[in-house]
Amino acid sequence: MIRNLGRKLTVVLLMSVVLMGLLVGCGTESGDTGADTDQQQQSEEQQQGDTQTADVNNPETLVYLNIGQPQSLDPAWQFDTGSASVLDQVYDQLVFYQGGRTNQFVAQLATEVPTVENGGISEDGRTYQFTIREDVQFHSGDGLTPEDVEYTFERLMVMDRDAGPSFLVLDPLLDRNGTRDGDGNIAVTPQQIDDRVTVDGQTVTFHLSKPFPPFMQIVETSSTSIVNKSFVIQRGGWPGFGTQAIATGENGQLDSQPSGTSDDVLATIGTERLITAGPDGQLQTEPSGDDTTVGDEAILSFFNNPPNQQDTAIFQVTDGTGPFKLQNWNRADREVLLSRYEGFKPSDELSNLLNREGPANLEQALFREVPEASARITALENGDADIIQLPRERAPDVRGSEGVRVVDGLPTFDVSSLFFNFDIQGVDDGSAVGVGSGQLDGSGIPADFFQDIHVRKGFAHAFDGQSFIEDVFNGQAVQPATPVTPALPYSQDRNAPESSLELSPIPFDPEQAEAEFKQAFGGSVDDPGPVWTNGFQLTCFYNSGNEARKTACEIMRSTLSNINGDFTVEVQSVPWPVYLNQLTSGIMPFYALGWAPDFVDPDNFIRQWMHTQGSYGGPNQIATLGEKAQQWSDLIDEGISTLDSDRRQEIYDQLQQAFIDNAVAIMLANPVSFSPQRTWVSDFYYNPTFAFRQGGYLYTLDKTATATPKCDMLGLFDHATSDNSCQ
Amino acid sequence: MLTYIARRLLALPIVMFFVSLIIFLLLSMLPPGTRVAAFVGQNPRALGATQQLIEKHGLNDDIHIQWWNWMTNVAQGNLGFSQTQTMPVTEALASFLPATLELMMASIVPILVIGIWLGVLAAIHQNSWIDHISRLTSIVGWSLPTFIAGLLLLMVFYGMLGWVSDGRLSTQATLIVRSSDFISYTGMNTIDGLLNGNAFVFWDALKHLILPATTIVIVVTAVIVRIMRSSMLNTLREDYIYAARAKGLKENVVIYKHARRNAMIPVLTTSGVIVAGLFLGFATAEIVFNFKGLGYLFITSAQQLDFPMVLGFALFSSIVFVIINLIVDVLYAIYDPRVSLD
Repeated sequence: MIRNLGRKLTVVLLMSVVLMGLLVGCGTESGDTGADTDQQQQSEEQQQGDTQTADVNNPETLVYLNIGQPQSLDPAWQFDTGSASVLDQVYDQLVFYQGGRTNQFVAQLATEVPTVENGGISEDGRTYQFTIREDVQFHSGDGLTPEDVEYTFERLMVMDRDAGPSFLVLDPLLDRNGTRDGDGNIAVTPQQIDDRVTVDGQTVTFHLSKPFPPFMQIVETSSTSIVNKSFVIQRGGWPGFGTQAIATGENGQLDSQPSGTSDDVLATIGTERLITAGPDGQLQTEPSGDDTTVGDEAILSFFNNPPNQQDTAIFQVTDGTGPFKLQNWNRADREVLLSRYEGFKPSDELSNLLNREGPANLEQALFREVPEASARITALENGDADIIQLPRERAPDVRGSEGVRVVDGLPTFDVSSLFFNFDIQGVDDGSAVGVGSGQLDGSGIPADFFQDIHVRKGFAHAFDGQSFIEDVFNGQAVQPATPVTPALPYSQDRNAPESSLELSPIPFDPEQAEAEFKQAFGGSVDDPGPVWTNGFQLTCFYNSGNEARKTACEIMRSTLSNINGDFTVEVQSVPWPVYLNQLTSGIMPFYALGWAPDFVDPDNFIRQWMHTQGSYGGPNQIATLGEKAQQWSDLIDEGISTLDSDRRQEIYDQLQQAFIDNAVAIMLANPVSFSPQRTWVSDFYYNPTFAFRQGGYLYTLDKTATATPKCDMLGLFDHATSDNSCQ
Repeated sequence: MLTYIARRLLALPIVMFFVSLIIFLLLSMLPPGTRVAAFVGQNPRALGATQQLIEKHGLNDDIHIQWWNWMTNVAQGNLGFSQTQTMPVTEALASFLPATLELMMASIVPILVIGIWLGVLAAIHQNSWIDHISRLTSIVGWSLPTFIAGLLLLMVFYGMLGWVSDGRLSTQATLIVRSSDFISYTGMNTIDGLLNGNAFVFWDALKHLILPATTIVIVVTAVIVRIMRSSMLNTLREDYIYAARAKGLKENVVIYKHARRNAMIPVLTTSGVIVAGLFLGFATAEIVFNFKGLGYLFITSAQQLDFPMVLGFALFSSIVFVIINLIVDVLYAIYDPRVSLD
């Protein structure tokens, strides 16, 4: 009996397994394509150049698999690639980069690109005038006005969250990096902000506080995407200047309520509440209880530096003028769904540049986070994804797959370094990490170890940059000489043929490294100092999971131990939160990290390395290098406020030469990007400033034909290695 | 029994209080410069603003002040904002729970049915080929890392056969679910598919449940098999089993009515732990299959030291464990008349 029961159960289980197989086997993901063999056939057909849309999975929808979702859809809050990738499709800026260039523009929401020649930019570089197009509508149907442009820039200054993008406009317009002083109090007046952006008819004028050469690049960032003023205000956003609001009185409770008939809005940030005037700018609610009516200053304070992204009015809603509108952002499933904006009208210049008019080709675009690289690759190979994000080391996994192409050699401005800490903090009290004994006794290093130029040069000559590029990037990168990467203006390469400077990275030369180490700390080649005779021990840190940085440290460890057996470099990975703490508190001696641009100008790069207040120069205590560090800082400050391009060239030449002469850091790589995509994806348009590197500008993309990418749409630079086979 | 239940439920706030205190104290051992990572992300641009962020979020305050501020907010139902999930903690828990519930419901029944059945079968056929195979499969299942099992299934059924992808829905089904015509009643795609009368979405969601659920079943069933087998073997040696046989009861009755029922007690305890574990998300399976439930939520938050989320999750876990333990206790009393809750 029991055996019978067992057999029955076994049969039931077997049937369940069969049923499960049937369940998963019935139909494929692509639904309309049938079985696996059909997919293979389809891939082959695609490879052969079949242009029939019937064989393309989801022909109207682009599926992009990535590894990071947006932090916010508010242009004034976001400052990350995930957010910008979406916003660049939903919003427009005043201008758009011309092709692959980063210093030439076409008009987008402006009628023309302002120049000194056409009177749009004043001779002194302090005034920029943009005439706004009258034929543009937001997704909501509201017409674009110059007031929307003014509001966008003023709101960006007003919001100014910590670690946010507002400094981009605060620096050129108010000559300060933030709206608050060191104690966190507001240090600018509403009038100061209001005066910087003015409207006259259809013209918006920006009044810069100083000449700021890369201002046009600032105007073209995701953070300066033009928002709909009334849309933002209706949702409880900053109401603009010249309005009033009702604030809580002494009892801490907001007693007043906007009436149902008024346009007034209840704005909420954290636990604070304020009743603001609606889009008409007139406050209609009367204060009750001990509530008080307040003006611009209090309103500015209320909306300044909100605690979290949900405290901004357009954190998860959008109303742009771009080719796509937000259909859904599911933050739990980490998916963003965009749908085509039928009313999209590119400017004539943009239309000519992209060779198309009217709305986008694709009906929808789905951005989906898939953390596992293997899953993303499988989805691409199966045709369930059209474009995916991949780390460089996985690129070989998709090359040669049927129906897949890899568009490679796409230039970027990303750059990475091995950083020296010039004055390691906490060596005396034991809180420093990776310094061993803290003395030059062969078992550690002292706090000022990297202040000695011979030590830095020894390290620099000991780094085999070419092996690093080959090992990590399969050759798809260059080792830049300085943070001013070849694609940047005023670099020695493409954009500055007039520069007489010939820069190259400090070469890998173990013999020279040996000579430098012998001279360190008072020694000479014939009478080596304590660095050579005692040796040293330190740790090279990198953030967990970053294989490229790990390899850089390992190369360093290997070559240094070959130069002198008493040179010990330990390689240690650290989780990002701990890494961040160690970095900002200046207790790490030697570490690997990188930089991606906020805006395309050498200032944004070299400042971080060489300025005493730079993102790396600060925590690395570059100021301890003394007078020359101060000179570099002064030069950097002069460079960003100098209009004379010859003088700028001179300044950046001088800084770059000093960077190499002083071995300020070891430059690792400026990699090229790549886009693994289905061959049915066509009209891929790329610019190195795009956040959405794998997909470029969605407006041009299509999924109907197998077409070889067009070289002139990829922003390729001459120096970039490429296997695109573009035409 | 009602008194017992009420007493246990009343103890819940005390448990939550101490859990939060312990987690808070553990987190406070990390320096503010590390905890601020939750607000910075992996963004070197923010390096210069870490001190302002530390001040802004009160990370430099005395720990008792930080804890008091947090508790005051919790008392008002505000568990804080999760930077990694870009939403309030309560909303994050509510948003990720449906996926985990769906996965738990799909896996718990096969785990218990197969586990108990194989365990009993192995025990009554001790040292036979059935027993050997059962023990071998349970050892393999238990030893097999979840991510290996998951990746193998993904490789075969998606990579090689292309039958079903990772994630919770295919692209076509996603477009339907995200459209304005589709109403999300529960957040569970299978159930929402049925409630919307959309067979395609139901079918699609069901297909996407199979691989992660199978992975969990493979790994977790092994535990039940081993416990059930060992408990059953012990029970079969009890005097009352001999007595039952001596009375002439049919073997079927002896095994399934007398032995199995008593052997179930340890399984019941283990099942409670398993259900609680599944309820809180089977993180590895969720990550491998891109099935974004509570496990996924916790891992992605903890990696960035998103302490409001970690604290919120700890509170949620304590509630789940207390309630499931309570249910197990009540089931004891129902299952075994000798147990008295009073």
